[in-house]
Amino acid sequence: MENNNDVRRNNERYYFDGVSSDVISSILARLPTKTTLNCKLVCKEWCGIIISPDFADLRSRHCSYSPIMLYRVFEERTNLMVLDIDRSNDDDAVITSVDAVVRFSPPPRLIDMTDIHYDDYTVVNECNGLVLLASWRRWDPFVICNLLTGEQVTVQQCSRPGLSVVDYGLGCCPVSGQFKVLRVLQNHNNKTSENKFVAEIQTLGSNQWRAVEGEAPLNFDTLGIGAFLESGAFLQGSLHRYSNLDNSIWSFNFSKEQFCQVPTLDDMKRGGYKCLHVFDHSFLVLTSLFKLLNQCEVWIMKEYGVKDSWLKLCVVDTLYCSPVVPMLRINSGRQILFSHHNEFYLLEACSDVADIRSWKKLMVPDDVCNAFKVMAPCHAKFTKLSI
Amino acid sequence: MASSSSSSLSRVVVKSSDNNLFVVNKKVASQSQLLKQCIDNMEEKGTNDVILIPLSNVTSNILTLVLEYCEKHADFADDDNNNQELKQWDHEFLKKFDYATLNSLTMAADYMVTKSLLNLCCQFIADSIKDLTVQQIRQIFDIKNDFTPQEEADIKNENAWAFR
Repeated sequence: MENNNDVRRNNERYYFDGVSSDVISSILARLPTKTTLNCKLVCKEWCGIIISPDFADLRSRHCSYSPIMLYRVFEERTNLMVLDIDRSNDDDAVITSVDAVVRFSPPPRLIDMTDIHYDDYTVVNECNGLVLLASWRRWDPFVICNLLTGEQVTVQQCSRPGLSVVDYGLGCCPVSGQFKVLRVLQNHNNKTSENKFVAEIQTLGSNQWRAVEGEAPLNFDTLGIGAFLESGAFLQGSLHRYSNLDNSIWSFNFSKEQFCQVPTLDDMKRGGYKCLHVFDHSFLVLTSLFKLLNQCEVWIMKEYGVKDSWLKLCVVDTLYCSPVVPMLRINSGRQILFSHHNEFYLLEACSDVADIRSWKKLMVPDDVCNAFKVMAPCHAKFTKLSI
Repeated sequence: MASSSSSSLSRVVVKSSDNNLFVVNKKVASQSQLLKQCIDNMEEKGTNDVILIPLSNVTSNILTLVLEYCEKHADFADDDNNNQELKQWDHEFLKKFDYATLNSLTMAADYMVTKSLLNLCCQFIADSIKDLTVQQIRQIFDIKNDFTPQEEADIKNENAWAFR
Protein backbone atom coordinates (compact mmCIF):
# COMPACT_ATOMS: atom_id res chain seq x y z
CA MET A 1 0.00 0.00 0.00
CA GLU A 2 1.90 2.97 -1.21
CA ASN A 3 -0.76 5.53 -0.33
CA ASN A 4 -1.48 4.55 3.22
CA ASN A 5 -1.80 8.13 4.35
CA ASP A 6 -4.61 8.84 1.93
CA VAL A 7 -6.80 6.16 3.38
CA ARG A 8 -8.73 8.34 5.79
CA ARG A 9 -8.73 11.55 3.80
CA ASN A 10 -10.22 10.24 0.60
CA ASN A 11 -12.67 7.98 2.26
CA GLU A 12 -16.30 8.41 1.40
CA ARG A 13 -18.97 7.06 3.71
CA TYR A 14 -22.04 5.38 2.40
CA TYR A 15 -24.36 3.26 4.39
CA PHE A 16 -22.25 3.62 7.46
CA ASP A 17 -22.56 7.37 7.36
CA GLY A 18 -22.29 8.54 10.94
CA VAL A 19 -20.82 5.38 12.38
CA SER A 20 -17.49 6.29 13.82
CA SER A 21 -14.31 4.67 12.66
CA ASP A 22 -14.01 3.24 16.19
CA VAL A 23 -17.22 1.29 15.76
CA ILE A 24 -16.06 -0.17 12.46
CA SER A 25 -12.74 -1.09 14.09
CA SER A 26 -14.66 -2.75 16.87
CA ILE A 27 -16.63 -4.86 14.39
CA LEU A 28 -13.55 -5.82 12.36
CA ALA A 29 -11.62 -6.74 15.53
CA ARG A 30 -14.13 -9.54 16.21
CA LEU A 31 -13.72 -11.38 12.91
CA PRO A 32 -11.83 -14.64 12.34
CA THR A 33 -8.32 -14.34 10.91
CA LYS A 34 -9.21 -15.35 7.39
CA THR A 35 -12.25 -13.07 7.15
CA THR A 36 -10.11 -10.21 8.45
CA LEU A 37 -7.61 -10.79 5.66
CA ASN A 38 -10.50 -10.82 3.20
CA CYS A 39 -11.92 -7.59 4.62
CA LYS A 40 -8.77 -5.71 3.59
CA LEU A 41 -10.29 -5.89 0.10
CA VAL A 42 -13.61 -4.26 1.03
CA CYS A 43 -12.49 -0.63 0.82
CA LYS A 44 -9.56 1.61 1.67
CA GLU A 45 -10.92 2.56 5.05
CA TRP A 46 -11.37 -1.04 6.19
CA CYS A 47 -7.93 -1.93 4.88
CA GLY A 48 -6.42 1.05 6.69
CA ILE A 49 -8.01 -0.03 9.98
CA ILE A 50 -6.87 -3.63 9.65
CA ILE A 51 -3.25 -2.85 8.82
CA SER A 52 -2.86 -0.12 11.43
CA PRO A 53 -0.59 -1.01 14.37
CA ASP A 54 -3.36 -0.39 16.94
CA PHE A 55 -5.56 -3.06 15.43
CA ALA A 56 -3.68 -5.99 17.01
CA ASP A 57 -4.31 -4.63 20.50
CA LEU A 58 -8.00 -4.03 19.81
CA ARG A 59 -8.28 -7.52 18.37
CA SER A 60 -6.67 -9.14 21.39
CA ARG A 61 -9.29 -7.48 23.58
CA HIS A 62 -12.38 -8.26 21.51
CA CYS A 63 -11.73 -11.26 19.33
CA SER A 64 -12.85 -14.69 20.47
CA TYR A 65 -10.68 -16.40 17.85
CA SER A 66 -7.17 -17.44 18.80
CA PRO A 67 -4.83 -18.63 16.11
CA ILE A 68 -2.67 -21.72 16.56
CA MET A 69 0.29 -22.33 14.29
CA LEU A 70 0.90 -25.68 12.62
CA TYR A 71 3.61 -26.76 10.24
CA ARG A 72 4.83 -29.63 8.13
CA VAL A 73 7.39 -30.29 5.46
CA PHE A 74 5.59 -31.58 2.40
CA GLU A 75 6.95 -32.18 -1.07
CA GLU A 76 10.15 -30.38 -0.14
CA ARG A 77 8.31 -27.36 1.12
CA THR A 78 7.77 -26.02 4.56
CA ASN A 79 4.05 -25.54 4.93
CA LEU A 80 2.74 -23.35 7.71
CA MET A 81 -0.82 -23.08 8.76
CA VAL A 82 -2.83 -20.90 11.09
CA LEU A 83 -5.90 -22.49 12.60
CA ASP A 84 -8.46 -20.31 14.34
CA ILE A 85 -9.74 -21.63 17.64
CA ASP A 86 -13.09 -20.22 18.73
CA ARG A 87 -12.63 -19.66 22.45
CA SER A 88 -16.18 -18.55 23.13
CA ASN A 89 -17.99 -21.49 21.65
CA ASP A 90 -20.10 -23.30 24.21
CA ASP A 91 -20.75 -26.48 22.28
CA ASP A 92 -17.21 -27.81 21.82
CA ALA A 93 -17.11 -26.71 18.20
CA VAL A 94 -13.90 -24.88 18.91
CA ILE A 95 -12.37 -25.68 15.57
CA THR A 96 -14.95 -23.95 13.50
CA SER A 97 -14.49 -25.34 10.01
CA VAL A 98 -12.05 -25.99 7.24
CA ASP A 99 -12.58 -22.35 6.41
CA ALA A 100 -10.99 -21.41 9.70
CA VAL A 101 -7.69 -22.43 8.25
CA VAL A 102 -5.19 -20.11 6.69
CA ARG A 103 -2.57 -22.10 4.83
CA PHE A 104 0.83 -21.02 3.72
CA SER A 105 3.47 -22.56 1.63
CA PRO A 106 6.33 -20.24 0.87
CA PRO A 107 7.91 -20.66 -2.56
CA PRO A 108 10.85 -23.12 -2.60
CA ARG A 109 13.36 -20.51 -3.67
CA LEU A 110 13.38 -17.16 -2.12
CA ILE A 111 14.03 -13.47 -2.39
CA ASP A 112 17.36 -11.71 -2.35
CA MET A 113 18.94 -14.04 -4.92
CA THR A 114 19.67 -16.31 -2.00
CA ASP A 115 19.25 -19.92 -2.90
CA ILE A 116 17.13 -21.11 -0.07
CA HIS A 117 15.81 -24.63 0.06
CA TYR A 118 12.83 -24.53 2.30
CA ASP A 119 12.98 -28.22 3.00
CA ASP A 120 16.10 -27.57 5.06
CA TYR A 121 14.20 -25.12 7.18
CA THR A 122 12.24 -25.65 10.30
CA VAL A 123 10.27 -23.44 12.67
CA VAL A 124 12.19 -22.13 15.67
CA ASN A 125 9.69 -19.88 17.37
CA GLU A 126 6.89 -17.38 16.89
CA CYS A 127 6.87 -13.91 18.36
CA ASN A 128 4.09 -11.33 17.98
CA GLY A 129 2.99 -12.68 14.62
CA LEU A 130 6.42 -13.28 13.07
CA VAL A 131 7.91 -16.74 12.65
CA LEU A 132 11.62 -17.54 12.75
CA LEU A 133 12.75 -20.34 10.44
CA ALA A 134 16.26 -21.76 10.60
CA SER A 135 18.15 -24.19 8.43
CA TRP A 136 19.88 -27.37 9.60
CA ARG A 137 22.88 -26.12 7.66
CA ARG A 138 24.90 -24.14 10.11
CA TRP A 139 25.51 -20.79 8.45
CA ASP A 140 22.50 -20.56 6.21
CA PRO A 141 20.55 -17.34 6.69
CA PHE A 142 17.61 -17.20 9.06
CA VAL A 143 14.24 -16.56 7.45
CA ILE A 144 11.61 -14.50 9.22
CA CYS A 145 8.12 -14.35 7.83
CA ASN A 146 4.80 -12.82 8.61
CA LEU A 147 2.23 -15.33 7.56
CA LEU A 148 -0.57 -12.81 7.23
CA THR A 149 1.19 -10.29 5.02
CA GLY A 150 3.30 -12.71 3.01
CA GLU A 151 6.49 -10.89 3.99
CA GLN A 152 9.78 -12.77 4.17
CA VAL A 153 13.02 -11.33 5.44
CA THR A 154 16.38 -13.06 5.55
CA VAL A 155 19.01 -12.47 8.21
CA GLN A 156 22.47 -13.43 7.02
CA GLN A 157 24.58 -15.41 9.48
CA CYS A 158 28.13 -14.51 8.30
CA SER A 159 30.21 -17.55 9.23
CA ARG A 160 32.80 -17.08 11.96
CA PRO A 161 35.90 -19.31 12.04
CA GLY A 162 36.36 -21.25 15.25
CA LEU A 163 32.79 -20.63 16.35
CA SER A 164 29.60 -22.57 15.93
CA VAL A 165 26.00 -21.55 16.45
CA VAL A 166 24.42 -23.37 19.36
CA ASP A 167 21.17 -21.49 19.85
CA TYR A 168 18.94 -18.84 18.36
CA GLY A 169 15.53 -17.28 18.74
CA LEU A 170 13.30 -14.41 17.70
CA GLY A 171 12.15 -11.75 20.12
CA CYS A 172 10.58 -8.34 20.23
CA CYS A 173 11.37 -5.35 22.40
CA PRO A 174 8.13 -4.45 24.19
CA VAL A 175 9.19 -0.81 24.39
CA SER A 176 10.31 -0.07 20.83
CA GLY A 177 8.37 -2.84 19.10
CA GLN A 178 11.56 -3.77 17.23
CA PHE A 179 12.08 -7.39 16.31
CA LYS A 180 15.48 -8.88 17.07
CA VAL A 181 17.21 -12.19 16.45
CA LEU A 182 19.42 -13.64 19.18
CA ARG A 183 22.12 -16.20 18.48
CA VAL A 184 24.50 -17.92 20.85
CA LEU A 185 27.89 -19.04 19.51
CA GLN A 186 30.26 -21.55 21.02
CA ASN A 187 33.95 -20.72 20.93
CA HIS A 188 35.92 -23.84 20.04
CA ASN A 189 39.30 -22.12 20.32
CA ASN A 190 38.86 -21.38 23.97
CA LYS A 191 39.44 -24.54 25.99
CA THR A 192 38.80 -22.95 29.34
CA SER A 193 35.26 -22.62 30.53
CA GLU A 194 35.42 -18.84 30.49
CA ASN A 195 34.05 -17.02 27.47
CA LYS A 196 33.09 -20.28 25.99
CA PHE A 197 29.84 -18.83 24.74
CA VAL A 198 29.23 -15.55 22.97
CA ALA A 199 25.78 -14.07 22.46
CA GLU A 200 25.00 -11.78 19.55
CA ILE A 201 21.91 -9.89 18.55
CA GLN A 202 20.63 -8.36 15.35
CA THR A 203 17.82 -5.84 15.10
CA LEU A 204 15.71 -6.67 12.07
CA GLY A 205 16.65 -4.41 9.18
CA SER A 206 20.04 -3.43 10.59
CA ASN A 207 22.00 -6.24 8.89
CA GLN A 208 24.46 -6.16 11.74
CA TRP A 209 25.25 -8.56 14.54
CA ARG A 210 26.09 -6.86 17.83
CA ALA A 211 27.72 -8.55 20.81
CA VAL A 212 25.44 -8.79 23.82
CA GLU A 213 27.14 -6.93 26.61
CA GLY A 214 28.05 -8.70 29.80
CA GLU A 215 28.72 -12.36 29.99
CA ALA A 216 26.17 -15.06 29.59
CA PRO A 217 26.71 -16.97 32.85
CA LEU A 218 24.87 -19.88 31.45
CA ASN A 219 25.55 -23.32 30.31
CA PHE A 220 24.52 -24.25 26.81
CA ASP A 221 26.62 -27.40 26.85
CA THR A 222 24.15 -30.20 27.14
CA LEU A 223 21.86 -29.01 24.42
CA GLY A 224 22.48 -29.64 20.77
CA ILE A 225 20.71 -27.40 18.30
CA GLY A 226 17.88 -29.87 17.99
CA ALA A 227 17.01 -29.48 21.63
CA PHE A 228 16.10 -25.86 21.12
CA LEU A 229 13.79 -26.27 18.24
CA GLU A 230 10.13 -25.82 18.95
CA SER A 231 10.84 -24.93 22.53
CA GLY A 232 11.27 -21.17 22.32
CA ALA A 233 8.85 -19.63 24.74
CA PHE A 234 8.57 -15.88 24.23
CA LEU A 235 6.83 -14.21 27.15
CA GLN A 236 7.21 -10.97 29.11
CA GLY A 237 9.56 -9.55 26.48
CA SER A 238 11.94 -12.47 26.96
CA LEU A 239 12.82 -15.70 25.25
CA HIS A 240 13.09 -18.72 27.56
CA ARG A 241 15.03 -21.96 27.41
CA TYR A 242 15.36 -24.89 29.74
CA SER A 243 18.73 -26.44 30.54
CA ASN A 244 18.74 -30.08 31.60
CA LEU A 245 22.23 -29.82 32.99
CA ASP A 246 21.36 -27.77 36.04
CA ASN A 247 17.57 -27.73 35.92
CA SER A 248 17.54 -24.04 35.14
CA ILE A 249 15.56 -21.77 32.89
CA TRP A 250 17.48 -18.91 31.36
CA SER A 251 15.76 -16.04 29.67
CA PHE A 252 16.94 -13.27 27.42
CA ASN A 253 15.22 -9.92 27.72
CA PHE A 254 14.96 -8.22 24.32
CA SER A 255 14.48 -4.76 25.76
CA LYS A 256 17.40 -4.73 28.22
CA GLU A 257 19.34 -7.19 26.03
CA GLN A 258 20.34 -9.13 29.12
CA PHE A 259 20.31 -12.73 30.21
CA CYS A 260 18.41 -13.61 33.38
CA GLN A 261 17.22 -16.69 35.14
CA VAL A 262 13.74 -17.83 35.98
CA PRO A 263 13.63 -19.88 39.19
CA THR A 264 12.73 -23.57 39.06
CA LEU A 265 11.78 -26.14 41.70
CA ASP A 266 13.99 -29.11 42.58
CA ASP A 267 11.02 -31.37 41.93
CA MET A 268 11.17 -30.43 38.27
CA LYS A 269 14.58 -31.98 37.95
CA ARG A 270 13.21 -35.51 37.81
CA GLY A 271 14.05 -37.16 34.44
CA GLY A 272 12.23 -36.66 31.22
CA TYR A 273 12.63 -34.70 28.04
CA LYS A 274 11.69 -31.14 28.88
CA CYS A 275 10.22 -28.37 26.83
CA LEU A 276 9.01 -24.84 27.57
CA HIS A 277 5.77 -23.42 26.19
CA VAL A 278 3.55 -20.41 26.66
CA PHE A 279 0.03 -21.21 27.84
CA ASP A 280 -2.84 -18.88 26.97
CA HIS A 281 -0.40 -16.12 25.97
CA SER A 282 0.31 -15.52 29.66
CA PHE A 283 1.91 -18.41 31.51
CA LEU A 284 5.19 -20.23 31.28
CA VAL A 285 4.67 -23.98 31.10
CA LEU A 286 7.23 -26.79 31.34
CA THR A 287 6.36 -30.21 30.01
CA SER A 288 8.46 -33.15 31.09
CA LEU A 289 8.09 -36.30 29.04
CA PHE A 290 8.99 -39.67 30.52
CA LYS A 291 9.44 -41.68 27.39
CA LEU A 292 9.67 -45.12 29.00
CA LEU A 293 6.63 -44.58 31.16
CA ASN A 294 4.59 -42.86 28.42
CA GLN A 295 3.86 -40.19 30.96
CA CYS A 296 4.00 -36.41 30.85
CA GLU A 297 4.25 -33.96 33.71
CA VAL A 298 2.91 -30.48 33.10
CA TRP A 299 4.16 -27.63 35.27
CA ILE A 300 2.73 -24.14 35.16
CA MET A 301 4.20 -20.94 36.62
CA LYS A 302 1.13 -19.15 37.93
CA GLU A 303 2.95 -15.91 38.60
CA TYR A 304 5.80 -15.03 36.29
CA GLY A 305 9.20 -15.11 38.02
CA VAL A 306 7.87 -16.33 41.36
CA LYS A 307 9.47 -19.63 42.31
CA ASP A 308 6.75 -20.77 44.67
CA SER A 309 4.08 -20.23 42.07
CA TRP A 310 5.18 -23.28 40.05
CA LEU A 311 2.37 -25.77 40.19
CA LYS A 312 2.06 -29.28 38.82
CA LEU A 313 -0.97 -28.89 36.56
CA CYS A 314 -1.24 -32.59 35.77
CA VAL A 315 0.56 -35.87 35.25
CA VAL A 316 -0.88 -37.56 32.20
CA ASP A 317 -0.58 -41.03 30.76
CA THR A 318 0.08 -40.34 27.12
CA LEU A 319 -0.75 -42.16 23.91
CA TYR A 320 2.35 -41.23 22.01
CA CYS A 321 5.88 -40.29 22.82
CA SER A 322 5.20 -36.57 22.67
CA PRO A 323 4.36 -34.01 25.32
CA VAL A 324 0.87 -33.00 26.39
CA VAL A 325 0.82 -29.23 25.98
CA PRO A 326 -1.81 -26.85 27.36
CA MET A 327 -2.52 -24.22 24.70
CA LEU A 328 -5.48 -22.00 25.49
CA ARG A 329 -8.22 -21.47 28.00
CA ILE A 330 -11.56 -21.59 26.28
CA ASN A 331 -15.23 -21.11 27.17
CA SER A 332 -14.41 -18.34 29.66
CA GLY A 333 -11.76 -20.46 31.33
CA ARG A 334 -14.03 -23.42 31.98
CA GLN A 335 -11.99 -25.66 29.70
CA ILE A 336 -8.39 -26.04 28.60
CA LEU A 337 -7.36 -26.94 25.07
CA PHE A 338 -4.38 -29.32 24.96
CA SER A 339 -2.37 -30.59 22.05
CA HIS A 340 -0.81 -34.04 22.00
CA HIS A 341 0.85 -35.54 18.95
CA ASN A 342 -0.99 -33.37 16.44
CA GLU A 343 -4.31 -33.93 18.08
CA PHE A 344 -6.43 -31.60 20.16
CA TYR A 345 -8.02 -32.48 23.48
CA LEU A 346 -10.40 -30.63 25.76
CA LEU A 347 -10.34 -30.92 29.51
CA GLU A 348 -12.55 -29.28 32.12
CA ALA A 349 -10.26 -26.87 33.92
CA CYS A 350 -11.01 -28.19 37.40
CA SER A 351 -10.93 -31.88 36.60
CA ASP A 352 -7.95 -34.12 37.21
CA VAL A 353 -8.07 -37.08 34.86
CA ALA A 354 -4.68 -38.63 34.49
CA ASP A 355 -5.20 -40.70 31.37
CA ILE A 356 -5.44 -38.90 28.07
CA ARG A 357 -7.54 -41.72 26.65
CA SER A 358 -10.42 -40.48 28.74
CA TRP A 359 -10.04 -36.87 27.61
CA LYS A 360 -12.36 -35.41 25.07
CA LYS A 361 -10.65 -35.59 21.68
CA LEU A 362 -11.59 -32.97 19.15
CA MET A 363 -12.37 -34.12 15.69
CA VAL A 364 -10.42 -32.18 13.12
CA PRO A 365 -11.23 -32.77 9.46
CA ASP A 366 -8.49 -34.96 7.98
CA ASP A 367 -7.62 -32.61 5.18
CA VAL A 368 -7.11 -29.77 7.65
CA CYS A 369 -4.33 -31.04 9.82
CA ASN A 370 -3.06 -33.96 7.80
CA ALA A 371 0.55 -34.52 8.80
CA PHE A 372 0.75 -31.04 10.27
CA LYS A 373 2.55 -30.64 13.55
CA VAL A 374 0.79 -28.50 16.13
CA MET A 375 3.23 -25.80 17.19
CA ALA A 376 1.84 -23.20 19.56
CA PRO A 377 -0.76 -20.48 20.00
CA CYS A 378 0.41 -17.54 17.92
CA HIS A 379 -0.49 -13.94 17.19
CA ALA A 380 -2.10 -12.35 14.16
CA LYS A 381 -0.09 -9.44 12.81
CA PHE A 382 -1.82 -7.68 9.91
CA THR A 383 0.65 -4.79 9.91
CA LYS A 384 3.65 -4.90 7.65
CA LEU A 385 7.16 -4.74 9.06
CA SER A 386 8.56 -1.24 9.09
CA ILE A 387 12.10 -2.01 8.04
CA MET B 1 -37.57 18.73 51.97
CA ALA B 2 -33.95 17.89 52.68
CA SER B 3 -34.48 14.20 52.09
CA SER B 4 -36.22 14.74 48.78
CA SER B 5 -33.37 16.87 47.51
CA SER B 6 -30.78 14.21 48.36
CA SER B 7 -32.76 11.41 46.76
CA SER B 8 -33.16 13.86 43.90
CA LEU B 9 -34.36 12.85 40.47
CA SER B 10 -36.19 9.64 39.90
CA ARG B 11 -37.14 10.18 36.30
CA VAL B 12 -35.92 12.07 33.24
CA VAL B 13 -37.53 12.97 29.97
CA VAL B 14 -35.64 12.10 26.79
CA LYS B 15 -36.53 13.73 23.49
CA SER B 16 -35.91 11.95 20.19
CA SER B 17 -34.78 13.69 16.99
CA ASP B 18 -38.35 13.61 15.69
CA ASN B 19 -39.55 15.38 18.86
CA ASN B 20 -41.22 12.54 20.71
CA LEU B 21 -40.88 12.52 24.48
CA PHE B 22 -39.98 9.44 26.53
CA VAL B 23 -40.23 9.35 30.30
CA VAL B 24 -37.45 7.13 31.63
CA ASN B 25 -36.72 6.15 35.19
CA LYS B 26 -33.27 6.93 36.46
CA LYS B 27 -32.04 3.38 36.84
CA VAL B 28 -32.91 2.60 33.23
CA ALA B 29 -31.41 5.85 31.95
CA SER B 30 -28.18 5.13 33.82
CA GLN B 31 -27.48 2.26 31.42
CA SER B 32 -26.49 5.04 29.02
CA GLN B 33 -23.36 6.90 30.13
CA LEU B 34 -24.56 9.96 28.19
CA LEU B 35 -27.87 10.13 30.06
CA LYS B 36 -26.17 9.26 33.34
CA GLN B 37 -23.72 12.12 32.88
CA CYS B 38 -26.58 14.57 32.23
CA ILE B 39 -28.40 13.37 35.33
CA ASP B 40 -25.25 13.58 37.49
CA ASN B 41 -24.58 17.12 36.27
CA MET B 42 -28.08 18.25 37.07
CA GLU B 43 -27.99 16.62 40.49
CA GLU B 44 -24.73 18.36 41.29
CA LYS B 45 -26.40 21.67 40.53
CA GLY B 46 -29.18 20.63 42.91
CA THR B 47 -32.01 20.88 40.41
CA ASN B 48 -35.25 19.30 41.46
CA ASP B 49 -37.09 19.93 38.21
CA VAL B 50 -37.66 17.14 35.79
CA ILE B 51 -34.91 17.43 33.23
CA LEU B 52 -35.28 17.13 29.49
CA ILE B 53 -32.48 15.55 27.50
CA PRO B 54 -32.69 16.08 23.75
CA LEU B 55 -31.03 13.43 21.57
CA SER B 56 -30.67 15.04 18.18
CA ASN B 57 -29.21 11.93 16.53
CA VAL B 58 -31.69 9.27 17.56
CA THR B 59 -35.14 8.71 16.04
CA SER B 60 -38.07 7.50 18.18
CA ASN B 61 -38.03 4.07 16.53
CA ILE B 62 -34.46 3.48 17.49
CA LEU B 63 -34.75 5.18 20.88
CA THR B 64 -37.60 2.82 21.75
CA LEU B 65 -35.28 -0.11 21.06
CA VAL B 66 -32.38 1.34 23.04
CA LEU B 67 -34.68 1.97 26.00
CA GLU B 68 -36.12 -1.54 25.74
CA TYR B 69 -32.56 -2.86 26.01
CA CYS B 70 -31.71 -0.52 28.90
CA GLU B 71 -34.85 -1.51 30.78
CA LYS B 72 -34.06 -5.21 30.50
CA HIS B 73 -30.48 -4.68 31.57
CA ALA B 74 -31.45 -2.42 34.46
CA ASP B 75 -33.73 -5.22 35.70
CA PHE B 76 -30.82 -7.64 35.63
CA ALA B 77 -28.24 -5.17 36.95
CA ASP B 78 -28.27 -6.54 40.51
CA ASP B 79 -28.62 -10.16 39.51
CA ASP B 80 -25.47 -12.03 38.61
CA ASN B 81 -27.12 -15.41 38.48
CA ASN B 82 -29.21 -14.89 35.40
CA ASN B 83 -26.37 -14.11 33.02
CA GLN B 84 -27.34 -16.93 30.71
CA GLU B 85 -30.94 -15.79 30.54
CA LEU B 86 -29.85 -12.24 29.76
CA LYS B 87 -27.46 -13.47 27.07
CA GLN B 88 -30.29 -15.40 25.49
CA TRP B 89 -32.53 -12.33 25.62
CA ASP B 90 -29.81 -10.17 24.01
CA HIS B 91 -29.50 -12.60 21.16
CA GLU B 92 -33.26 -12.82 20.56
CA PHE B 93 -33.47 -9.05 20.80
CA LEU B 94 -30.97 -8.42 17.99
CA LYS B 95 -32.11 -11.32 15.81
CA LYS B 96 -35.27 -9.44 14.90
CA PHE B 97 -33.60 -6.59 13.07
CA ASP B 98 -32.51 -6.04 9.50
CA TYR B 99 -29.09 -4.57 8.77
CA ALA B 100 -30.45 -1.02 8.44
CA THR B 101 -31.98 -1.13 11.94
CA LEU B 102 -28.92 -2.87 13.32
CA ASN B 103 -26.70 -0.11 11.97
CA SER B 104 -28.91 2.64 13.38
CA LEU B 105 -29.02 0.86 16.71
CA THR B 106 -25.22 0.56 16.72
CA MET B 107 -24.90 4.25 15.97
CA ALA B 108 -27.36 5.13 18.74
CA ALA B 109 -25.53 2.89 21.24
CA ASP B 110 -22.29 4.61 20.29
CA TYR B 111 -23.83 8.09 20.61
CA MET B 112 -25.58 7.35 23.90
CA VAL B 113 -22.49 5.58 25.25
CA THR B 114 -24.29 2.36 26.08
CA LYS B 115 -21.20 0.25 25.98
CA SER B 116 -22.67 -3.18 26.50
CA LEU B 117 -25.23 -2.62 23.73
CA LEU B 118 -22.50 -1.30 21.43
CA ASN B 119 -20.35 -4.38 22.07
CA LEU B 120 -23.35 -6.61 21.55
CA CYS B 121 -24.17 -4.97 18.21
CA CYS B 122 -20.57 -5.12 16.99
CA GLN B 123 -20.31 -8.81 17.90
CA PHE B 124 -23.64 -9.55 16.24
CA ILE B 125 -22.65 -7.77 13.03
CA ALA B 126 -19.23 -9.47 13.04
CA ASP B 127 -20.83 -12.89 13.51
CA SER B 128 -23.24 -12.30 10.67
CA ILE B 129 -20.63 -11.19 8.14
CA LYS B 130 -17.85 -13.62 9.00
CA ASP B 131 -18.75 -16.16 6.32
CA LEU B 132 -19.56 -13.69 3.57
CA THR B 133 -17.55 -12.78 0.49
CA VAL B 134 -16.06 -9.33 -0.02
CA GLN B 135 -18.76 -8.58 -2.57
CA GLN B 136 -21.54 -9.57 -0.18
CA ILE B 137 -20.04 -7.47 2.60
CA ARG B 138 -19.84 -4.44 0.32
CA GLN B 139 -23.50 -4.93 -0.60
CA ILE B 140 -24.69 -5.20 2.96
CA PHE B 141 -22.87 -2.10 4.09
CA ASP B 142 -23.39 -0.35 0.77
CA ILE B 143 -19.68 0.30 0.47
CA LYS B 144 -18.20 1.23 -2.88
CA ASN B 145 -14.95 -0.42 -3.89
CA ASP B 146 -12.55 2.53 -3.92
CA PHE B 147 -9.40 0.61 -4.83
CA THR B 148 -7.70 0.96 -8.19
CA PRO B 149 -7.32 -2.39 -9.98
CA GLN B 150 -3.60 -2.26 -9.17
CA GLU B 151 -4.17 -1.71 -5.44
CA GLU B 152 -6.71 -4.51 -5.37
CA ALA B 153 -4.28 -6.83 -7.15
CA ASP B 154 -1.55 -5.94 -4.65
CA ILE B 155 -3.67 -6.89 -1.66
CA LYS B 156 -4.86 -10.08 -3.35
CA ASN B 157 -1.23 -10.88 -3.98
CA GLU B 158 -0.38 -10.41 -0.29
CA ASN B 159 -3.25 -12.70 0.59
CA ALA B 160 -2.29 -15.26 -2.03
CA TRP B 161 -0.32 -17.37 0.43
CA ALA B 162 -3.22 -17.56 2.71
CA PHE B 163 -5.80 -18.58 0.18
CA ARG B 164 -4.22 -21.24 -1.90
